[in-house]
Amino acid sequence: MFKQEKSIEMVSVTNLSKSFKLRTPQKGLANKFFRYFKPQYRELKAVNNISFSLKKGEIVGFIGPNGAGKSTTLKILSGILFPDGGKVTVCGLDSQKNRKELAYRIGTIFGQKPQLWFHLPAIDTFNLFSRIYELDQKEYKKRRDYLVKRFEIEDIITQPVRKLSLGQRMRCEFVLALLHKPEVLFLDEPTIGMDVVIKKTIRELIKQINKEERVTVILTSHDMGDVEDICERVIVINHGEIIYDDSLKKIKEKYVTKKIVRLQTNKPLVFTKREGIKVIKKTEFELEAEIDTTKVSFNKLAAGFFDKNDIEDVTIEEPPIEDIIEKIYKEKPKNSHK
Amino acid sequence: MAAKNTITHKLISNIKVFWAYLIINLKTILEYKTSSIIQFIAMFFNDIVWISFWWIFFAKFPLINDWTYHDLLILWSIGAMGYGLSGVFLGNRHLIGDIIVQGKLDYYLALPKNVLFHSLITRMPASPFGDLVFGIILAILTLQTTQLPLFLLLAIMATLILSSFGVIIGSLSFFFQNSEKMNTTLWNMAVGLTLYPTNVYEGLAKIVLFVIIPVGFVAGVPTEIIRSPSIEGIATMAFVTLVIGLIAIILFYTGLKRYESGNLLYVNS
Amino acid sequence: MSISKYYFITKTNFKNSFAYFYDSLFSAIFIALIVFVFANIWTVVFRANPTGVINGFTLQSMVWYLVVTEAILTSQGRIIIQIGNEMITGEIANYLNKPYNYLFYKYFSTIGSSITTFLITILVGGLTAFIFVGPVQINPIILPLIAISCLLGITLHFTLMSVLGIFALWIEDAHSLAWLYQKVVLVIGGTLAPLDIFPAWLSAICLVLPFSFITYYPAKLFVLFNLNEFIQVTIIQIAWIVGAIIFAQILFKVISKRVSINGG
Repeated sequence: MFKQEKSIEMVSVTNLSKSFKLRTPQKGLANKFFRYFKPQYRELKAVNNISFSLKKGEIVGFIGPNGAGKSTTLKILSGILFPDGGKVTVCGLDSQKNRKELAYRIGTIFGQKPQLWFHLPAIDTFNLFSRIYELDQKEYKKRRDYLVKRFEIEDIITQPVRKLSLGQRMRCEFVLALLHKPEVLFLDEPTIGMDVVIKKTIRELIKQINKEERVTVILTSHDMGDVEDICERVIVINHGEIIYDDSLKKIKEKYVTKKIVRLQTNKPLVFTKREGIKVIKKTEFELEAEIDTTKVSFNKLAAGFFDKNDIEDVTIEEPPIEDIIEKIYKEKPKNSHK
Repeated sequence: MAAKNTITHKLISNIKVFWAYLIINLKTILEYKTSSIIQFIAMFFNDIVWISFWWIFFAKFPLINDWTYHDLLILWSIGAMGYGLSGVFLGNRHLIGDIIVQGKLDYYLALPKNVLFHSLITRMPASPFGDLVFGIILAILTLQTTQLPLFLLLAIMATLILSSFGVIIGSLSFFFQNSEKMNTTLWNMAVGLTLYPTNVYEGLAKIVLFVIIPVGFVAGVPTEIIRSPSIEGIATMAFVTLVIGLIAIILFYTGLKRYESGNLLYVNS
Repeated sequence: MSISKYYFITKTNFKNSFAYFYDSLFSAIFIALIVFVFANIWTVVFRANPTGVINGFTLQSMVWYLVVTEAILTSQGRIIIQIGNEMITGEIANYLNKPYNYLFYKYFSTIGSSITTFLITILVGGLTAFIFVGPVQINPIILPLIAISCLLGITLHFTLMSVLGIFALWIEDAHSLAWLYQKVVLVIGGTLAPLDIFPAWLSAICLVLPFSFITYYPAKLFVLFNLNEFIQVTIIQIAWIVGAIIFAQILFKVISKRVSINGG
């Protein structure tokens, strides 16, 4: 029974395509006048035949540069836009034909477009949404009180939202999004504008909620820290196509080819030069080198170092994930699925 | 799941949502008491200025065709009620165009309610209360008690016609590139005619104002019906209310389909 | 404070005002609608009057009168709200340091678009009047003089609005103040109907208030010109403008002291 539940498909996208008709801007007054009533269009292919599927409880990072087709895909998933071609199923429902039914089962948080009414206490918006989602009031109150406690906002839900800090506001937004027990949660830039401490708190909450309630989470963020911390799987979109769809771990394995190592020894260094090791700095007790992991096994190398030397201190650095992602963005699409 | 789709269930849940918005909107108004009171007074004052003008006018010219100052007051009580009721309960009726242009439709599309209904009831500014209270007071002072039920019925129909106009004008933004300024002007134009005596038009003008853009039905026709009540008059009003309402709904949802199919007039990433 | 500086500002504003063309066009179309309505109303009123003249006005003069008053009134757009908001947001502080007088700057930077709006409204409104009641009987010689009256009316309108804009700082609501003012000028200023048809006691009051010098007098001179009256009106218009400017300057000095005390 458990195993079956684990493999429920929550989101299924097959051969999705979407183009937009953009009005071509006109020059000249006469043209402008006539084209107002009979516009000329050019086609912009925003999403080009993409396919992927998400299982229940997965946390997926959806990343890509601006204009990559990310938001178009997400809008189609949430029923806001219709696909031109292909099929999209979310929570077992056709996202185009069953918009309203689907809306009961999904939740959204837009970092830049809050849903809480700004001038009133958060609890007023909670109550409003309980009506929008047609929740049974007894159940709703239980759920609300549980989430309020869980997100530690008991003291602030009676204050006007405009008086809350960013972190407090976001916790209230999370409670709002989860009130109706959505099966899929769309998070768009949830940590935007936050300091490191709050970001960490929010990320923890996302992970916990995902575990406890088995909500499928789709996250878009330009903050790679979010993606690294929260997502097991990453889908990279660019030019309307999926460039990469796999776990973050595999991304690193595939794209991280260099590590920078700094060693400090108590006794003079014992070190033999080898292919794949580029020395940056070397003194009697110090070594800084760049290791090419495609040419040399890092583990073997490290074992060798530790064997032959009395190590005082060691640091290992990888290039930041942003650099890796940038590299991927620049790659040509390969039309690859998992 | 099946039970959720019965018509009565849908109706009840929509009434609950309507009520919930009423409460949250009223709370917002009360949150800014001073500003709300000023807006209320400003609108009330505006209405008083207008009936003062007409008092001056009718003092000099006691009859416009067969209308007296009393008839004008009837016109204004219906009109003010129409503006007031629609402004209070369907506060976004003149802002549908703005909602489309600013990409706010996505918010409503992600929620499980009828998009048009939902977007109309989300807002409740304080100023229409000025019209509402003015209309009620004026009606009580102008009409006899026996006329009040008819007045109320006609005021509700006026509200619906006025709101439908707003939706029709706003829905044009789905099809044409409208600026927000153009939206406001179209609204002001379409309804600006409603509060003047309607018995002064002939020929082509009459056809335009009563058939093509039937602004005359908001307050003008109800005034005539109150002057000389008839079943035919009421039935005509009901018919026009229904037709304009249907046009508004059909136009909006046709445009919405276009929007969802990605006819990108308004690029909103 | 040099004249050429102000001329340059005006010229720039004229060029920019073409961007406001559509805005002006839309408000002009709205005015045309009002002209249309009153053309119909006045037609009915005059039909009931055997002489065809009411207080010296013919049907045509009555409707063309409205064209002129509305053109003057709507030419100013959003001055109260602009100034009011600049007061409230403290943006005004920026202007206090500039080497030109704030109000003069505001005037010369908006007069271009005001005149444009005025002319467009005359055109569109006049066309509507022409279609529904025909042309108005006037001697074209007076047109330059009427232009002066209208310009003075617009200027007085601006000056009064500036005073109100400054007041907006105290009540912190520029919109409502602008709204109320517009309504008052609509009736008391004789915009919708000339003061001549008002009951005697009321018109006596309105005639001495500054509002009638914004719309009533210029429009009346247009349809019922009288040289003596023109000279008198012009003098009084200038007097009101000067008086309002002095009052505005005093208010302004008070404000800037207050702003700098509050830490600018």
